[in-house]
Amino acid sequence: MADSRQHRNTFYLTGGILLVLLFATLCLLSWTADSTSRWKVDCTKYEIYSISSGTDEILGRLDEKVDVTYYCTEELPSFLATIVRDTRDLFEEFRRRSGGKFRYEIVNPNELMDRFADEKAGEYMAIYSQKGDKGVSEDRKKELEKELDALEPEDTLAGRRGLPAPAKQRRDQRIELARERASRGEDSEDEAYRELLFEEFRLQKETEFARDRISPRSVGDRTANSVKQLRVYSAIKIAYLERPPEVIEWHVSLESLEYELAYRILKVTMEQKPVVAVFDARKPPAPPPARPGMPPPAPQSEYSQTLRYLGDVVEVRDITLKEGDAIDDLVQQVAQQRARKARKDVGEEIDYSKDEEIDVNPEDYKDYLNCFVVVQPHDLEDRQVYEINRVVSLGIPTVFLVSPYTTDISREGWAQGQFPITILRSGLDEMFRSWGFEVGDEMIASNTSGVLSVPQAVNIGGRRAEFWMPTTASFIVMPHGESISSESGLTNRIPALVFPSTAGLRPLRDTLEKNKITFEELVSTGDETWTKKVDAFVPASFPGQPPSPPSLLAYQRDLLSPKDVKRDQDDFIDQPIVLAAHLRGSFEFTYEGEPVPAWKPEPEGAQQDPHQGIPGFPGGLPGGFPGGLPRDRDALPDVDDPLAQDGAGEEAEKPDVESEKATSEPVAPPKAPPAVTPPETPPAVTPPAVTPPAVTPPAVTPPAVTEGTEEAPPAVTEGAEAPKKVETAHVSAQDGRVIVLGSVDMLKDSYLQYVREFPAYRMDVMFFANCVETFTLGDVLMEIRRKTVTAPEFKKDSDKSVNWILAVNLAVVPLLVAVIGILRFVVRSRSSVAYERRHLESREPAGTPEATA
Amino acid sequence: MKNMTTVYRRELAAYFNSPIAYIFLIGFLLAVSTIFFVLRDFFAQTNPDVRAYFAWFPLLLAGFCSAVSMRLWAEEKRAGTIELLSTWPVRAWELVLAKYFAGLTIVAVALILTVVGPWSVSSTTDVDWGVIFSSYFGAVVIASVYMALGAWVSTFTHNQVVALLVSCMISVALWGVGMPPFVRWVSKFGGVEFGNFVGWFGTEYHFQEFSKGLINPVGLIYGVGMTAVFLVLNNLFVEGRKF
Repeated sequence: MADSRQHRNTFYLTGGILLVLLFATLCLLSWTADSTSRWKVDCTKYEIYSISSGTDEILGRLDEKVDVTYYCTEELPSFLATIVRDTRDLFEEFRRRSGGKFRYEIVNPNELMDRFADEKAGEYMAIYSQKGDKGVSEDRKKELEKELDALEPEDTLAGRRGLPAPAKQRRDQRIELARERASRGEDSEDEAYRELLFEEFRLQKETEFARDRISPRSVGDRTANSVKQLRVYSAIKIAYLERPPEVIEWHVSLESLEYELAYRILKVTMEQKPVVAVFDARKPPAPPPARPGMPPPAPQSEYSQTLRYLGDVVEVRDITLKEGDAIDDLVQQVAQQRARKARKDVGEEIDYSKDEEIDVNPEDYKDYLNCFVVVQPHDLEDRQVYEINRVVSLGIPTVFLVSPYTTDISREGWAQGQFPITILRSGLDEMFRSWGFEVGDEMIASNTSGVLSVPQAVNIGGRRAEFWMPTTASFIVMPHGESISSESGLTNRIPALVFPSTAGLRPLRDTLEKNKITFEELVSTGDETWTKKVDAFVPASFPGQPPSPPSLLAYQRDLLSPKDVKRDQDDFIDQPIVLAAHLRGSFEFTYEGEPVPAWKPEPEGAQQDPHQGIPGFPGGLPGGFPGGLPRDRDALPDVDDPLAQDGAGEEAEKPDVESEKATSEPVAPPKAPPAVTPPETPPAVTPPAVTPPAVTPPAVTPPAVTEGTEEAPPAVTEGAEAPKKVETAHVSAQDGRVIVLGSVDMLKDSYLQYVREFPAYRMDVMFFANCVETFTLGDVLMEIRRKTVTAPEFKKDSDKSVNWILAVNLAVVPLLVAVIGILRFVVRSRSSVAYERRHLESREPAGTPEATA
Repeated sequence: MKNMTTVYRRELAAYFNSPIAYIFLIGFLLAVSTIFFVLRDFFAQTNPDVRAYFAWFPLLLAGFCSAVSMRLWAEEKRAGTIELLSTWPVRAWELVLAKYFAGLTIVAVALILTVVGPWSVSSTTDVDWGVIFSSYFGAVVIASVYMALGAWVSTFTHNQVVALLVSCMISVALWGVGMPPFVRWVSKFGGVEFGNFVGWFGTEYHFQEFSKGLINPVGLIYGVGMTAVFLVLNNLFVEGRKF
């Protein structure tokens, strides 16, 4: 008995101890749960919860600590229920990978505001309490006075109540209010005064947050039986040293957080913004100064919105590719600025009045010019083509916005020529062909298209009024879905794009292969697409009238209206046309060994406006040509093939060059075929590099002439004309990258104005920003972005499968289980009966009457 | 091990020889599909997310596991066969484990049958099979906890309905403890850390990770640990009957 009791006691004791140990272990694990999260296995297809090697690289580059603060309210709506935990997990991963350089904290802004207000109000009360001084030092009193004086009226509740701004008067008003409250018996006078102060300081802190772009948003929280409106903070601030912080203003999804964080860390830790040169061949000249003696205002670019957006990340430099404002000049400016900054940083005196020449090796240009953007190239001079080719061959990443057409959809455009279409001649065709692609020559239109506003007459109360109403226009091609590459980091998060007035691109596979250039198709046309060649002149509708310039209205049937899938099916093209491409490789320098083209001198008088002239007519027509009535057909392009102008253009320019040769000083003949190059031209010589002064940036090299050589000057006799220097073009082609976007209109302000009616225009800007950011901030971002997934969508024709899916899940599977159950029951019943029979049979002795029966 | 296998097979046969297993299976499948396809109207969504298929698994499994486990010991007690079992040359923990695994097998069968849902949907949208796998993995982990809990509760009584109700209540409570609103509510009184500590014991707290596509060892440890606690309790109650 005693043994049994002892045994029982031992059993319960052992069991109890085991339970306590188990539970204690569980509790311990619960407390340390966060530290074990590093062993998580990410099963998602795109590994969205794992940090990519790109982020690793960015974190590895950190010199100083990055402080990240996640401002998040305690009460969150149900759709954000797990956001804090998920964000903390990701932050923890960042911290671990950065070796402690990434510091984070998660704070509740409401608590911060309360704490701040409470503390300040307490201190303040110590001074102004009716109970007198509470031992606050005189200095602190003055500080507090200052702080309160600094409160702006709009920061304070007092301000809202119309109290005057000066601190003293506000104090008096506050005392009055506090007395009023006290007299109502709500609080004591001191308490009421403190409460007023608390509210003022709290609002001050809230305003401070708002200035940092940390503001609450009102969101609805739906539960089973109610909808509650919540004011929610969910913002992330990334601070580095004393630099202006970066803020993710509204953080609600974890899927792109890694990219957002990495991008902002990269941005905030950059020593200087990358430099992007933008060359707009059709940028209008600066308007005349508003007041005499004042400098003329900067000309308004047609791409001002996009460039402003870009300016947030990079330093955008306008460049005209004219003499004195070419690539060499820009690089020189940047090099000088950096050298000065480097000197300033070490405490040296800088003499800004003196220009110091810094020689930069062209091969190092990409350290100073991080990206080059060429928009709407048109009627380019030979020297400008040379400069562009040189930039690309030097390995500077370049983005081209190129198309043979541009359409003016502004109201002025309507008034001038019913949305005139201008034919552009870039002059880059030969260069593009040598690389391995060419720009198309027929305008593309599609049934999946964007919008523009057109005037429409409406009858209101018997009076005709004209309204501008948005309508779809087939020449604004809108690729979406599978037409946009999901493989490339440049496009994988972009659901749709807009390509107005595009003619697309044609890859020349053989040339690409020969040059070892990869041609990645980023965007192409989709279904129900057709093309239409736009002529320089549209024949008149009535005999005797002169032909008119091309316009959208003249091509209404093909470029504005949609086409019928059945009736017009012969018009549709079979193969998709590439609209944007990413090329990588070594880009041929087509001027190699030839004389460097001379700069074309500016014409006398004002700079010519490339937008002026006859709307819709090819540029370069003589100024002052009477609108709409071309008289000298010789001066006009070939009606049948307006794009085949390059030769004619060059011819037209030649006399200028010739005359220039005779007048200007260091002049080279215009671009000539390689055979013409003088055989005695010696090979290019690169003098040895000399180490620059200690303060100059490392990439800056001393006097070096890599480009061109000079012919040995002949002996100069007194009174004789100075010898002409002939520079020979030379570039050591480096690996580079080029993105070609087949529309010059896609980023123009006149199109982006429809962003509200048609959000795809915003995607155009995002896409362009992706391209520039990738080129300037590095490939790592693209790598991170590549893994970011887009929201899932239903496949085409999935509607047809809905019924069978519902039937299978709601009926077939449960029925199947039921059938199996019934079958098993039947089989068991039968076997049971058989067993019983066998059993009974085995019990009956043989030969008995029952057995016989 | 041989004893365990014998008891395991006996238990499984007992389930499938009666209509009870089929009824529970059909009920579970209908509940899962109805919530996903009808109540949440999957095909009406703009961005179809198959992860929603698993959103109610913790609660549904709480009910299903309680239903499966209710008869494990209560039936033995009611029929008096527990006395017979006590006389068998089988250790108590072997009986406990055999019955637990038998119950878990039924749940596994139910979960396998639900794979038809994501499979059929995959013809209409892109399905992340990694997430589906981790969700099922998580479902097995929490089902294991519920099953151990249900088996333990079943030792209290000879009435299966009582066992079902008590087990269901505790399981639902265990699910609710890990729900974010509850964690927030507890945090208000005891601070965020205490809130998280309490929440850690909830099945929902860990299942959220699994349903996102993450297999977190913490969740695994939770599953194994909680199952072990309830199985030890179960063993104490079964073994304690001898004294």
